[in-house]
Amino acid sequence: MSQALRSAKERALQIVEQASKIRIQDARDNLGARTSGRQVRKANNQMGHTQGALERAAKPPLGWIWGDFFRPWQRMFPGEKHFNADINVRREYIPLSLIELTRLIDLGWIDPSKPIDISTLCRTQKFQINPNIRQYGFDLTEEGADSFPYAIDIEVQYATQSAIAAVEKAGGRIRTSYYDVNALEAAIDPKKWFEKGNVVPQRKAPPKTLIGYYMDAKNRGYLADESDIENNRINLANIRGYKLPDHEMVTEPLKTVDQVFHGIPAGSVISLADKKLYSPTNEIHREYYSKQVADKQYS
Amino acid sequence: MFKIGLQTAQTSLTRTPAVLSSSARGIANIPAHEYHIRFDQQSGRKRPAQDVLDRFKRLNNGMWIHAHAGKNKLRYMKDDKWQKTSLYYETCTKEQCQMLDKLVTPFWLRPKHYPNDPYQAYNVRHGIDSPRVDDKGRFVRERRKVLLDDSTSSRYFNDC
Amino acid sequence: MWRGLIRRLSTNSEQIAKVDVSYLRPRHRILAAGGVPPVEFDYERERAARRERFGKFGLASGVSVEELYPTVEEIEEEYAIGLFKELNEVKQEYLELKKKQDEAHKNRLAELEKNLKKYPAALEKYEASLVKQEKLKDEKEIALEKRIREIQEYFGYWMDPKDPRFEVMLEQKEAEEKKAVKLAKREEVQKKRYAEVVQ
Repeated sequence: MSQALRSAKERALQIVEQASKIRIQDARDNLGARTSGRQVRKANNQMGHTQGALERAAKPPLGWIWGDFFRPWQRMFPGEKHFNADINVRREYIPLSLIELTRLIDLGWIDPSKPIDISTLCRTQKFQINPNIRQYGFDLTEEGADSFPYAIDIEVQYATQSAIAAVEKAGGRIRTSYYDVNALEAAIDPKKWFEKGNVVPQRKAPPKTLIGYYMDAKNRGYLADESDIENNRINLANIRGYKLPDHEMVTEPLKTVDQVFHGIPAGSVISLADKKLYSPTNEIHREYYSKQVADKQYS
Repeated sequence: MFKIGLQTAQTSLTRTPAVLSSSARGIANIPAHEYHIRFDQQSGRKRPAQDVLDRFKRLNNGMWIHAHAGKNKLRYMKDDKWQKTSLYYETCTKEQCQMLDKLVTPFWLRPKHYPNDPYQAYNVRHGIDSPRVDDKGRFVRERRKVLLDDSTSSRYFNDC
Repeated sequence: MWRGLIRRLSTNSEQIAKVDVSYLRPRHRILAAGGVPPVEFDYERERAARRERFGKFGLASGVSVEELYPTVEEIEEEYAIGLFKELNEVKQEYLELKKKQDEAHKNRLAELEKNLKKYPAALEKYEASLVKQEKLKDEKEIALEKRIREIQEYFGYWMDPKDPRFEVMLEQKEAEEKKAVKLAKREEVQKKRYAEVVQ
């Protein structure tokens, strides 16, 4: 009560009296006593337009940079023929390494005692081949070549020399063979092909640009002479320094040049419902399906 | 990043802009046809930017390469060092790769395997600490191996 | 309501229909029972559909096997287009091409070998021609070069020999040189005289 009645002056005097000593620091302003105006923080400053307006505004197309008003960034560089020019001619293959093949056999996805071809490999559902985007089958690569144990009979579309050596060292047989688009489609999913009621197609030989690869015994091409291949097999063993097994481990006959499936000649019709195979009786059809032709040149 | 006007103009004069996504508003010269994504008349699918396909190559590890800018210009009056280094291919930065990925179609983003590919050695890149997989658990830079676990895969393959 | 309607519709057919409560259409009922549905729609009369029908149901579908094969017209058309060459023909073509390429390669190698034998002689000749040219150049221009160098040294700065002032300066320099020679002679004579006098 008595405090409230006292004037500000009195109170000030009292404070001064009680203070031990007055220093010059005690005479300064309180914090925020004098201000010259409100300062807006940088983040909150929206001078004229806001961040949101900028974010919602129309943007230039991809590659157009401020400063270059005549062409987008990607047009700055010279064209290069080696990059993508031959994309419509290039053939893509699905890589299949020997270690993956070993693993597939180990885990029972593939039976090594039977011949292995595209149909066998695709039946495992581990690979997708799309003939429409120029995927032409499998490329057998050499990863795991040092320890490949199975004597298999395999047919791939491309193989490196190391992979060939690894398969033959184990006593197996390897052939590289060409599938044209129709044959490939049939081989990838035979059930689908038969259920469509299609005739088993004739496997066409490779076009002129590719026939060299499959006629070369060094690549174990399916168009090469068997005697040449045998010589090359012994030769490769001598070069690489391994011993071929004494007796033939794979003795089953090979597919003929125009056959897609083992044991089914070209031009047959398969009825899965009746479990029957029909062959053409008409002479024209017989001739049509027995005539060995090469695929068209730009395929 | 989105600031425009005098300041940006000044910086662009003094140095080449590195950020591709920076705003280019105010450019009156972008031709109208550049503002649209083109679609195929027959199939109705998006067409890849032909400029990109002509000039760039995507390696299987997701990296894009391109030739030296100005490689074919006035070669005779440039020095020996340039004659040599201009023949090298250059890699793109991460942002540039992302932009180029958007400019092409899924066909080009797919890893492809060609026998006897001269670019085979460059399809793998080692010593990268960014994640090996994307948000859906698919490998970003390497091929998915069939029935192989990581340790076996790393024993036989040298691609991560 | 639907249930009642269907029951009324099905009562007049068979006992089986009463038991069946799946509400399948007759076609699908046949399919589910493993039978062959009758041809109902227009598309089923098309060729691809008939093929598919055979593929699914076999001979029971009523499609004959002959229908699956290409017609004679189609085969003839294919032959007429000639897209697919015979294998032996392509093989021959390839072998010929390869032979040609091999021959070209062999010829090229032989040519290179021949050129390599001639190479030392050609190199010597070329080097000799280089030396000769240098010599010729020396004989012709050595006098002029010397002159230019002298005048430049004399005046202390570079001067273009094609400049008209060059000739003037050359004359000036020659005159001065003559003068210097004259002076030297005179001095010699004077020295001789002194010597004579002193003796």
